[in-house]
Amino acid sequence: MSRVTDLPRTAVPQGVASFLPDLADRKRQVEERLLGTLGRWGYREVIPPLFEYLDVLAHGLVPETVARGYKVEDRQDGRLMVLRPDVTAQVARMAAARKDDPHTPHRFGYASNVFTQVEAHRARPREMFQVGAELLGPGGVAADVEILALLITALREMGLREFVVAMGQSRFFHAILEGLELDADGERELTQAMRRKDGTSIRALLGRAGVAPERIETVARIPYLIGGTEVFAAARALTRCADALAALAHLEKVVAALTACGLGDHVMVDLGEIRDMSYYTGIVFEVLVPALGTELGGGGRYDDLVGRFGHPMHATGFALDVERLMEALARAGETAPPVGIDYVVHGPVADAHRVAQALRAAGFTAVVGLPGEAPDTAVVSVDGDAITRTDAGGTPLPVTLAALTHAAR
Amino acid sequence: MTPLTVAFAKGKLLDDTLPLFQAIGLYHPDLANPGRKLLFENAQGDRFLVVRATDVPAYVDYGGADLGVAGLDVLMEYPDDLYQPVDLGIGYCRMCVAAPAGHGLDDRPGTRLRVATKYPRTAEEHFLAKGMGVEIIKLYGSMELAPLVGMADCIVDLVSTGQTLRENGLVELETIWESTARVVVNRASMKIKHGRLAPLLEGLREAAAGLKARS
Repeated sequence: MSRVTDLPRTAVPQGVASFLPDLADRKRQVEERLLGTLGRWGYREVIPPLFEYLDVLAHGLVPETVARGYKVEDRQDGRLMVLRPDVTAQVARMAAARKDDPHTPHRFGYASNVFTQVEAHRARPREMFQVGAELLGPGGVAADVEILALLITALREMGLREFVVAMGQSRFFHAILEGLELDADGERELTQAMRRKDGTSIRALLGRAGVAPERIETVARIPYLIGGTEVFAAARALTRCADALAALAHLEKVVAALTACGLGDHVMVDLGEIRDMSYYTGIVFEVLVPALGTELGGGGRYDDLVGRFGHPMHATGFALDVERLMEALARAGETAPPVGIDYVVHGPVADAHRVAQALRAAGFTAVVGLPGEAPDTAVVSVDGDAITRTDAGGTPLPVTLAALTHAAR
Repeated sequence: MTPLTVAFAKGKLLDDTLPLFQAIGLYHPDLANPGRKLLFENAQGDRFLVVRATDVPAYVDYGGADLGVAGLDVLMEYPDDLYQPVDLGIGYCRMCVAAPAGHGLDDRPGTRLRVATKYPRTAEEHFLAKGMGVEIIKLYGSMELAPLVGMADCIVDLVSTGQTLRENGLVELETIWESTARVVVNRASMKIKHGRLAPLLEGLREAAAGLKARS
């Protein structure tokens, strides 16, 4: 017996999912409603390919994403291709390819699956479904406000009430980091410690690097600059670096604009949240909900990314994890009922199809009865012009086709 | 007040941890003698879990607990980074490379260094970072035996006083890192429950500093 070769005939690889109709309905509703909001904001859907050249797409990927990608060889030319691990890089490539189009901003939306290798037994999927939006072309406060307002509005229009968008500013931390003049190893270690909000390691490694004690205390406080707008005053008091202060002022303007739009309830600030600095160049954010221990999604500004594909432009965007959003909505009691079958029509096959089609034209879901049909549905029996309707557990009652098709759903 | 769920590590670390959490009022009196009970809830609605030390990171990472206490040794073996805002300074130990007295890492009969350890991730990262190819043998206890019976050239293990090593004729060759217990916090809780958590974490920092000053 081998666990590898003697698999049951219905086995699937770990980390993928099969959606049967009820779940598939919920997934489609979530995706369609998100794309609906995106569409009303002018973000039109794009469909990137399932696989791309690894060496091309890698310009826009962080090393860990490259390492975890599923790679296949192109039999035509021997080059490696990667199953899309990240749609943002694809959208950046697509935008860069439209060099000759003078019309920016580009507003793009997508609903796509992405693929990543995972470690065993970590409860992480290998195929993930994402809905996202990207705003390419203009930078500045207005573009940041637009992408965040869109994110918050899209989640609200899903029926999600309790969620937080925690915002950081990678330019703030980057400015502080540059002032410390650490070597490459020191910068890497500080970034990792910052991501762990590990003040002990920050103090220890800056101490070893010979940074002045009062500056060490400044940096060690950054990971705990979390909260509302009061954080800005606390952060300003920590530094005189002009770049850092400008980065703070930018974030403060964006937060103020979101608040003025009535979206401030969902916004909080975490200046220690830096995400991946090789990718993000400005405001970064993640979406959190109380019942889920992990983020629903996130994003940020990535002004260097499109340029790596040969045509620099500003860009910002977000991606939401559809399955986590489905879970958050279910936990909040916001799951729409699945689309069921309204009528099962029995009778001579041509009569049954005629009546079923009339019901469908009136907006009902109707099937022509086949052997074994589920019993808990309203049944319509037809024979020529004679029609009866039987509700689940009831007795057959004569009815006209007009009465059936005009009935309320 | 937002209720919190706290994951504590079973065993000796629990005895050292409880006074610090009692000092900030995040506490249940029965925790001192947990017996077979695994989950405690106090009058404020805060819940306390007592789990295996190595399971604390998973409880916090997946949101089963908002915060927990875990040794750096356990966090280093965990595959993802967790927020670890407070060093409690308790539960000191160090991760070491040790070999039989009189033996260096280079004098060995085999061509590749064989390492017996309960911490394969740490051991592998340590030797690979030095460009040394190693063969790791994962054991679950009494690592000291492996070099004595010729199964491995050295061990990578946690040492607190060094007594066990000495009794088995092993000496420490290298310290990989030193470990103390950390407060770890779930990513979402750190933000969503920040109003409740921030003063508690500050309180723990002060309690830990007070403990260090007294010792």
